[in-house]
Amino acid sequence: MLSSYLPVLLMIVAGIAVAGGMLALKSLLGPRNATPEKQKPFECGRESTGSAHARFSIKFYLVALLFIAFDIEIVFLYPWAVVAKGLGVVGLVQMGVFLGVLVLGFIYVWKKGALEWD
Amino acid sequence: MNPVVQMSTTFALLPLVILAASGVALLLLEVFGSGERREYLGYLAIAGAVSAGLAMVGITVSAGGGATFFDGAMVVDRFASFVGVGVLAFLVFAVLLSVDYLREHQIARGEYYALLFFAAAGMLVVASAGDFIVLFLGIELLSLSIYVLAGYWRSTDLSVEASIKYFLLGSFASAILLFGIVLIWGEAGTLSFAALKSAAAGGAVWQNTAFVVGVFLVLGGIAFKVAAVPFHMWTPDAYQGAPTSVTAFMGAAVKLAGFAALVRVFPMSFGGGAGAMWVEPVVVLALITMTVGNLAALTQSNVKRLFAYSSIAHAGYVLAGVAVAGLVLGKGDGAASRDALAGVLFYLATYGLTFLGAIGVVILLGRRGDENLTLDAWSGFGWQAPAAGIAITVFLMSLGGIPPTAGFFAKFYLLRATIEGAGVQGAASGTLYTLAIFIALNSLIALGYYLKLIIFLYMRRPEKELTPTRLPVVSIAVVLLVFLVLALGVLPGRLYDFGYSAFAALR
Repeated sequence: MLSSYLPVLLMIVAGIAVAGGMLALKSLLGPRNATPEKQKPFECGRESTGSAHARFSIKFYLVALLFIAFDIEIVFLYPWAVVAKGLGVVGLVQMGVFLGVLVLGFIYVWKKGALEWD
Repeated sequence: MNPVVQMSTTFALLPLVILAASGVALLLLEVFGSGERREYLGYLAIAGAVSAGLAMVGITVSAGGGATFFDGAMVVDRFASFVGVGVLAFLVFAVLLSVDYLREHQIARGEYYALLFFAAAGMLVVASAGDFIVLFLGIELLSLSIYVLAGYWRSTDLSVEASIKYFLLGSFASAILLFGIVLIWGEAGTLSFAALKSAAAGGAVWQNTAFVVGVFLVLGGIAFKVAAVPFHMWTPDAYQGAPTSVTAFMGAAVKLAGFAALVRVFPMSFGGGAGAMWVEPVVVLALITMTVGNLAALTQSNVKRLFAYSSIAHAGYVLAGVAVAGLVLGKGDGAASRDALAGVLFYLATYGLTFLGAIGVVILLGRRGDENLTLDAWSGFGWQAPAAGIAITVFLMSLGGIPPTAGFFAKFYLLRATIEGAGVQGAASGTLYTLAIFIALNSLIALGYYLKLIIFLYMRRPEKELTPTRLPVVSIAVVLLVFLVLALGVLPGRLYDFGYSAFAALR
């Protein structure tokens, strides 16, 4: 019974081999010329300023969460769009209900003031 | 794949639709309604919960047997009806407890009721799940809503702590549950409970290590939701920190939904029979859960923590009922396992009502700025608030299993099924007698702290004056609950038969 897991084991071994091999090859073949600039954290090619552990406003998280929530819903539109013809009017109505609930959520978020920055 | 929605499907989903629509409506009223007066939101919530409950009763009465929808993904059978009616009854009482509580502490908002409704919708989905994906969906819907509700009173540190602890541990448990589901799917090739039932009855899958590991992971995930030891660590903190009205809903409804998932997956799908490996772990879980819960409750000085540990102990009794069902399923004519599962449903229903009532009295004795949650604060309250004192005495008697309250028959049915099972040919009578002895001894230990509360209420010099306040809706709810607990303690038969009918076909 355990032999049926052999492909899984091979997969794990292959994964480790590929990842480890690349790291090993890099340190074997890659040129090394460490300049002070190369040791710095990357910040869009500019001189680094300040600490990376700055405090962000909580508003960023709120906006990000709202973006994800509404963005993910769009994903559901794609499979529907592909088969929309086959599903016909019933599919259209069901999608309308889905989007209608979404719009209600959007109205709630808007009226609640979650989209205002101040 | 027929996308046309049938009329009967719409009818079967009516309680869910009412709950979701009321939730969304309350959200919109919250933002469009006038600023100060939030009280009408509570009364609208009561109306929504009651109408969802009536729809559920309508389905129960009209659809006697079992009907499946969405290619078997949702099942509306007697079991789903019992759990659905229970959840919605608990929801109605939870809303009744909330209206005054939120006003008293000035935290009334529409989102609160909306989240309660979404949680109840998740519980209905759990109750009528026909496969693992729908079950997981329901558990997530109810869990996410409850995580937020636990942290709803966000200006208090305890509430935020409760929410974050519950969320972190709960999402971990969900991941474990999902991993178990994946393993089961990988080995059995199906997620449908009906198909898994025939696969498990064959017995061959129990020889498959990965399948058994999957079953154990699912058991662990659900054991977290019902707060079984050793998956109970979040319970005291979550129950203590959450707003008291949310605690009431958690202890009654979340427990019912969690056990609905447990019963649907284990006794009803995986069944007993040769080599059903879920049974022994559930026996062990039951024994340690009731013992640890009761012993820990003995030392608590906070009322909400005391009820939290007591709820863990009660989860242990219910687990014992599930274990009994597993031990005798497939042996004899299966009557003892049907009795045990009917006892489980009866226990959950009456425990939920009692717990709601007990927490209702906690709300009655709390005041703005000081919820009076320590045992010392309760000293002499039995004389200062005589009606609340009598009510909590009834509820404590029910929790302790003293007649003439519902809690007596709850324990009686479980013990009767356990002893009955020990007499069945081929059942592990030693294990069953051990369970019976543990239930009896633990009921005795539990009286230690239930009576302690009564001692504080009536036999201690008052530490403070209980200022009068206006909590009319909570009072009505508590009176109704006292009546129900006493009525079910005198006439338990109808509810028990309703529960029994859910398992009529189980062998």
